[in-house]
Amino acid sequence: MLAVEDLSIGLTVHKEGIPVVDTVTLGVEMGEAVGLVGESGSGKSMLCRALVGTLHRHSAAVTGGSIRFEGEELVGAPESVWRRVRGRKIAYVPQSSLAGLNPVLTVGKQLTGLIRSAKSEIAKSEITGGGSARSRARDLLEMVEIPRVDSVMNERPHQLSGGMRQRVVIAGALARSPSLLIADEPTTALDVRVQARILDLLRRLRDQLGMSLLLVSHDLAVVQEVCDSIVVLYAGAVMEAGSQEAIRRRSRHPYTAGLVAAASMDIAGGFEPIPGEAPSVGAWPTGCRFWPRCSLTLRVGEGDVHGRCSTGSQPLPVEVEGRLTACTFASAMSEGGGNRSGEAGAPG
Amino acid sequence: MSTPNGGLVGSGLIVVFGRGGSAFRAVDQVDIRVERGEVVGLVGESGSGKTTVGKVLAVLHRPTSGEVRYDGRPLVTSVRGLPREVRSRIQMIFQDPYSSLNPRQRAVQAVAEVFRVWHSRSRQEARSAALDMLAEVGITQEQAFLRPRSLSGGQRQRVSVARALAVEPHILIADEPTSSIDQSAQAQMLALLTRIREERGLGILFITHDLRLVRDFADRMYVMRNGAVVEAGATGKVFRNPSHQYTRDLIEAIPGGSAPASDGNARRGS
Repeated sequence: MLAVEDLSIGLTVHKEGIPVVDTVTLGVEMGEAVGLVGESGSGKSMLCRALVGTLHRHSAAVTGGSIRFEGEELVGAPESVWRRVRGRKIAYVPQSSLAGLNPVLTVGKQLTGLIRSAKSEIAKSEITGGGSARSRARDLLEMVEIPRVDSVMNERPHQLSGGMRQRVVIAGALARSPSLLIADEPTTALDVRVQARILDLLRRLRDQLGMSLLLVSHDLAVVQEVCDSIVVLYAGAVMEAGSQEAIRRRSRHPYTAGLVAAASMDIAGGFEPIPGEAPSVGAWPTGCRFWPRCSLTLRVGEGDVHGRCSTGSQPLPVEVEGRLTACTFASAMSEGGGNRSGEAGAPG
Repeated sequence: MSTPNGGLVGSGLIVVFGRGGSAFRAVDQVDIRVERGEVVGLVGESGSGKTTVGKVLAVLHRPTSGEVRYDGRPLVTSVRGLPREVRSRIQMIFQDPYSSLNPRQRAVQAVAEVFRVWHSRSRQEARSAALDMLAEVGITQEQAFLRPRSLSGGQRQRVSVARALAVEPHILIADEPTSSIDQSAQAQMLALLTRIREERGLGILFITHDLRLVRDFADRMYVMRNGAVVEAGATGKVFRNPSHQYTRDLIEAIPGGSAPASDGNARRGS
């Protein structure tokens, strides 16, 4: 349904021409939940913005590759195409739930506004059709499991808790029955129990509405809760991509292995955290972008950085053991790995 | 180490914000203890009162009632009246190092200041002591001369750890020190705290909303809700056999399940 191929994004104003996303390929099937994992500066938010055609608002532009959505090419598409797609077919839930809401309007007003605008453009579909916008708004709030719907309809965003606000934003995103929902760090600022409930909600909505989901997070564990497959982004490039199960059980990239270990937080178990810092945009190293922090390259290079890691350009992911990995020495990970969790084998 | 009154002890802590009808009991009858050399987790959701307890223990906030003692000596009577030596025993670091560091000071200046003020070192001595301290937390010489905005979140947090350690505390209170940084930097921070705890015999009170962080890191833990401690005990025991429904809910809410993310990772027996 969504096919991103060799997509590259560069900055346009400040630091002109500097790449932020480099030759990224990923796909989302109908009804599939894909997790996009990356730390700050990995390019994950820029990638999302490319998918809703708002890169220009963030001083960036697509510099290569393609984004096909339901068969239609979106790279270079005119604004008239984007207006048909953005929010209607591809809905975007931003990280800050406050940013997605108008502080002076009641929840009911905001939702009915969205529903009416959807109605005026799309001729009555089965979902927007029938009933008033207000009753449809109520249905949406019930769908995202908001209690006391009638009073929430008359409240303004600041009167709601963080979790409730996030639900309202999700309800708003669903107002136009999108086929793909992109949620960018939807639970980052929330307490654990609220976070778990929002993730539950996303999972259920996906099943119930047959919608596709692209869940973006820096937290591998969050993504694993909900997603069928995972794409790991580092310094603008895909490091590893494959089924959630395959990556969790047996990562084939030292960066992912480090993230899996970090997510388990098994400090006493003696894991070594990934050393150093992710490179900032504009300061990506040559060769594999992860080599300055990689322990595997030192092992295969017998104490030195292996020449194949630190020269040339970022390797493109290739298939190894049923997933894609950009690590040249992925197969060497079985003999001791980039770190302990790389060779997570039989339980216990 | 486990003398009954040793370490940092808060007993019967009550903090009330506001007065009259709008008074709000942020901390309600909390008893808490942190000894040297141990890591204690203080877990709770936003509004649970965990940060306020941390501030009371760090003598940054005076409780409405209750007392805080360190090695049996009362701390919370008058901060000003305390000898430096006692005040320096407890240091606190905060969630957002960006707001606790002076934006105009280079990392080395921020730490050197502590050596000059607390330990009356000369400018020269303070500078080299600061560089040593920064190296100990993994800040390179080059990074030491950067200002906070040029450092990453993880590096800034390490600078604030160096600044706290420069005071030579016995107990470090860390309030959500990893919640504003990336996962790999988060892991580095926990590894760093583990190391300084071992090398310096430091006691650490680790305040967080994220149970994953205390699961393998803390020896003991407290769970707070609505200002009160609802559960306390050895971390392994609390995770295996939580006595309070709220703790069970929190454990169940851990993303990726309460088991370690990687099946093959050996768990530490407790």
